[in-house]
Amino acid sequence: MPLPTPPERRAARVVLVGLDAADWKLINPLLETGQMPHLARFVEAGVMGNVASLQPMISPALWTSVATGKRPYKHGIHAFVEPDPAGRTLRSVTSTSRTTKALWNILSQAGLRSAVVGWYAGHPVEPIRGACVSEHFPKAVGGLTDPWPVAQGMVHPPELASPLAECRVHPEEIDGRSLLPFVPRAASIDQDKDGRLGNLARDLAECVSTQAMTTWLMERSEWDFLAVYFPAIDHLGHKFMQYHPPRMPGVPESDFELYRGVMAETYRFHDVLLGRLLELAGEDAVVILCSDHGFHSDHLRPAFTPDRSPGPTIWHRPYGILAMRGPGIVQDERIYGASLLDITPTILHLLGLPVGADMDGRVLAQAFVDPPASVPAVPSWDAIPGESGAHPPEARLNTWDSPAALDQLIALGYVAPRADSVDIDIRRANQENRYNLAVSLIDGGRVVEAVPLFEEIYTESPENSLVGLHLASAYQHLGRSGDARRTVEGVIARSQDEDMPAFGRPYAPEMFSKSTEGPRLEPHADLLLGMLDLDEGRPESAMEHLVRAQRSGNPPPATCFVIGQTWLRMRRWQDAAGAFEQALSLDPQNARAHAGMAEAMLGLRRNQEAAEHALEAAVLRHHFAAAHFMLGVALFRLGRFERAAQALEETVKIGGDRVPVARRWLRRVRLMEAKAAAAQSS
Amino acid sequence: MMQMLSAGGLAILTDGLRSPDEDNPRGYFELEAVKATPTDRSWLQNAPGKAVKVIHLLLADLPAEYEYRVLFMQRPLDQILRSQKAMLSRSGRRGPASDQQLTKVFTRQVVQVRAWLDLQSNFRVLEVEYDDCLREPFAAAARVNAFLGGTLDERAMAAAAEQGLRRQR
Repeated sequence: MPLPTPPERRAARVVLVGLDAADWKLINPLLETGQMPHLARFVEAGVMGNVASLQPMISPALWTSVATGKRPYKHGIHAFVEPDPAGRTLRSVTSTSRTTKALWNILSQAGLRSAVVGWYAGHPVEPIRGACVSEHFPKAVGGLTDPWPVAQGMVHPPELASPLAECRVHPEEIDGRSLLPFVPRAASIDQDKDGRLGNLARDLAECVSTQAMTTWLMERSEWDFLAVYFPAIDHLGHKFMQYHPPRMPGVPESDFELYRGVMAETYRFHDVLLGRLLELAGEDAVVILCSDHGFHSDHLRPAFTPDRSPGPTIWHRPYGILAMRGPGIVQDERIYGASLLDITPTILHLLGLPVGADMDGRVLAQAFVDPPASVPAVPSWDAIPGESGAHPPEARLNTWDSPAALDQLIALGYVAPRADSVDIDIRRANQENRYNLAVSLIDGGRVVEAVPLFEEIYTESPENSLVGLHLASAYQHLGRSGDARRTVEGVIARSQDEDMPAFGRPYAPEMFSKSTEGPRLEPHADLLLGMLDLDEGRPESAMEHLVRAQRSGNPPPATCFVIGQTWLRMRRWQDAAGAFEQALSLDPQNARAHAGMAEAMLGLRRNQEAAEHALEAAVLRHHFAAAHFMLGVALFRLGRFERAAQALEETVKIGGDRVPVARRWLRRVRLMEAKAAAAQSS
Repeated sequence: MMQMLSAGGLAILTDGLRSPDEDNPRGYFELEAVKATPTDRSWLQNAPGKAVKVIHLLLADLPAEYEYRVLFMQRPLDQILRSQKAMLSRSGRRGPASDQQLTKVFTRQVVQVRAWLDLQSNFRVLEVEYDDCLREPFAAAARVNAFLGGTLDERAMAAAAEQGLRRQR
């Protein structure tokens, strides 16, 4: 297949630094007080902004989206674990499950050299043009004096294994003095009883190892593209964000005082690492810094973590960080509406290669001093043969069938049965994988495809209320009111049999008094029933459900959002605006609440405010069809037809169920434009 | 193959726990302890110089301190799946996966086991086609005997293979 005329190469080299879970909310106060000087210089020299995450916020899936420009249902990575090929046990998710080319495969194929260090879901390494180091390589096995061999699949090319192994730091080499900036009173901790210092040392050791390997490769190897991934901010966030000031209810004063500084110091530590990477990257490289999601560090920190999906990811915030600097990049500006999906197309464009039309992201043209007039594209890089350094096809197979194949061998008596606990873990992981795929499909607007998956899981595990509510919500979205109602009622009936709150258990049970209630099922069920009543023409009953949902305690932003949505459907624009205002007061960066507010303002004919909220929603999350649609309608009413057409065209481009109505509005816009042109010429 | 080896004079490591049945009227030659190798490898103390039947998935469980010669038996996968299905169905059970799923998984597993075997210095491997043993039993017996050191009775091995062919007909 002939390639289109490639775009001009804009960057001599590109560096991509991934910081899992880094969040401007925590960074900004540190920047303002001069505590992250390298990052401060970085953002002054380039652009910065939020980057919208994807649902579900599962890091291996998200980092694979960063590296492919595609949503999880296109790249195949959905969960933290997968069965091993024999189906006997679970292992960390692997690169062999990815079903599409990553950036480094495309670059390999185009003759460019990459150095990839520790990328999530990058194990086993791929034989690309350049160097590749597994995310498991820095993880210590055994004690300091035990052998720490280089296992298979850790380093490509193999001759780099030895020098890179020298870069590894064992957790026991992180001495007490190194931990003092994180935990100044570390000496007072009895480490036999409190393992948190050990956890900190382990994460720091892996971080230092990754940095050392990266700088080694930057200095000693040839590369056009370098990508490095640091997981420590996320790992330490899950262990220590609960101690970050202000003190969360239920966190003991003594623990708070001991560990309150860990997160801020973790960010300062990464700033030092970034400083060295920027120095080695040089001025001719474009450097991109990003995270896959944010991390709640304020009043939105959850008091409870569900024991099933979304599990600990309930701490994740849907906006990560994005910053870019280098030749041809705008200086000291904010960038809006970026998504994780945009990073691969942007890097391809920077390196003078066409993007894939099957990628879900776009080139971040706003970041360029000289934005491209058009972006060359090929239909799909996957369809272009060539030496991409990808795993061979026989190695790239979905391992979720392996446990079933093993079951056959067990039934035949060839292999011993798995332990019951392993069996349960595999079944649960299998469900989680399908659940994540279904949520990803919903996130991409493909509700019809998600329904059979939710149905399958809910049939297997009818006690899983969360899946039941997802299924009911999907039915409701598709207008299948009867199915939706039956499902919600079933969920409620089952929840009444259980003693525990349906949604989970305390994140750290010892920290919460027994009287503290966890998130409850009822408000969610009430909201759904309210919406169903609306669908079925019973507004009074809908009102009852909504009022009950509102009275169930301090509703989180998501609940306020659904309440607002329901008022919208009842065309009670003012009530809807009140609910969205409440959501935005809790979380001003909630794109869905801004979109809801825009719709309410459209209902109230306050078109200017509608346009502002719709624009804010699109800025926060570019791949958000409803925001662009609302913006188009508001601008049409304001008589700004050309901009309205752009917004509606964007709605169509993103796809989903708003497309037919957006097309109708586009026809109206074109008609008005034609009338205006005719009036002008006459 | 186990019949051939036994007929040729090679000692077989089996516990005789699985009795002959309609599927395998001449017996199974299996050793239950093989399945538990990761937790109990004591059976290997009696194994040197003997043959044991091991499914592909369990090869990697074998400890590294021994030398192994592997007769890697090949048979078209559709035949294997038909045979497995028949065995399950005779015991009133059904396989949990479709033929398509099983084909994909087993094909990949065999590729991976071969790749793993290539990296093991203590394993020597001879690929043996099941159909070749039936079609050309003398040639197959000679290859296997040469691989195992040349001490076996090839005529007896071939005769055992021919008996297997007659049963299959």
